[in-house]
Amino acid sequence: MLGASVSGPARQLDPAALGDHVDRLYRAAWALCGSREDAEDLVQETFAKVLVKPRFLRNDDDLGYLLRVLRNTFVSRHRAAMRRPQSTPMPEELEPVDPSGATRPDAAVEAREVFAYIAALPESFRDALIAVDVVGLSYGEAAKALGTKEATITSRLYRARAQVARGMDPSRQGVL
Amino acid sequence: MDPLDDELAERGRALIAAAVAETRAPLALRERIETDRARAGQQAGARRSRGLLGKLVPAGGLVAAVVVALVLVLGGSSAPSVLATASLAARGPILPAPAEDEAHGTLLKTSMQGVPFPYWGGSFRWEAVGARDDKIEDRPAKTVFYDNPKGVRAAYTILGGDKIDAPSGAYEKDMNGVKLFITTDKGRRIVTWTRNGHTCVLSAPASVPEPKLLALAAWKGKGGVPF
Repeated sequence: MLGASVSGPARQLDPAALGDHVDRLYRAAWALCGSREDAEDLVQETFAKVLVKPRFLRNDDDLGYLLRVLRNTFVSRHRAAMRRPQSTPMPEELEPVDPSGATRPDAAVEAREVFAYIAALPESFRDALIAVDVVGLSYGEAAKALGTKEATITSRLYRARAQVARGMDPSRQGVL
Repeated sequence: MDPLDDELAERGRALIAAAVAETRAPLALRERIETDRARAGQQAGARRSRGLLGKLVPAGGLVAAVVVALVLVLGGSSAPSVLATASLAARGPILPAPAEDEAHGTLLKTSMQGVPFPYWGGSFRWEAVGARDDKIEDRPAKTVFYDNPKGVRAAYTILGGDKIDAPSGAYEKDMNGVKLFITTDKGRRIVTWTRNGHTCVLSAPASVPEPKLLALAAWKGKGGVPF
């Protein structure tokens, strides 16, 4: 689970401001799940959890807080799914390309592959990459959100980015 | 570190940045979240009302309770504020982006009570990426969202009905013959002005320089954008 930082006086999270973060949380969810449909469900469930009662934060990092809720919701869903019989997802090549999600169909296909590779990374690499490259947190914010050191984030990011590049280039797959 | 690894890491960073830049939440998801948010707001309001009435009535405040009920029912008759209008920006788009009006290269194909929204793609490279319709204090409000090439988003709202007052504390500037009022709220820079008797509100993150925001607000497209 992602850690939470505690400092300063509490203030209420403004529900009206949540719309600012939908895009970034959706990308993060896609990179966690590796599937666009699961990402939509995860984001909606995350917002539903946040909206169910007033939330009080002790810093200005709304996005970091929402990312923690998203990550924890993902982990809970994953655990629950492991206890249920598995269903076969629709093959990726048959999935429709959503024109509202990307500006170019070829870019949509590439984005789907990138998010799928991120989802398949080892958890610690994936979380660092999502926090910094996908959500846009600073190294310091990411370190705080993930309960680790900035140097660790730097190292994990470097290796995670290289793994994504290797995965997206068939000629480099299997090369260490 | 190995130069080959450096190259791979940089390539990975670029691939991820491209995927991020191309990916936005689907409008259907935004709609569902907006519905959930509105429902949660209504439930919270109902809880607050029950709590307030519960405190008043046992204290013998029956008349006060009736007054509170009337206020709750009839409330909202006052004019909306600029800040309330600007807050629509945070809710994000739930409608597709309006298209450029090719017959008028400076306008989009959408308007509020006859006041059309500008097309900024050609002159400023701020492209319309979505829209939403709302009601504030029973007045219609249409918002168009524009993104610049860096993905920074601005929200342009035209409020139906008569113009409203600028927020207290806003300072005034004149650009291109347009009287603009500027303020900031919750990390956003907000500009308000009037077009054809309707209040317009443009807001963007405070990282967008004030001259840029004012230039967008006061842009007349060589007379193609009616004021």
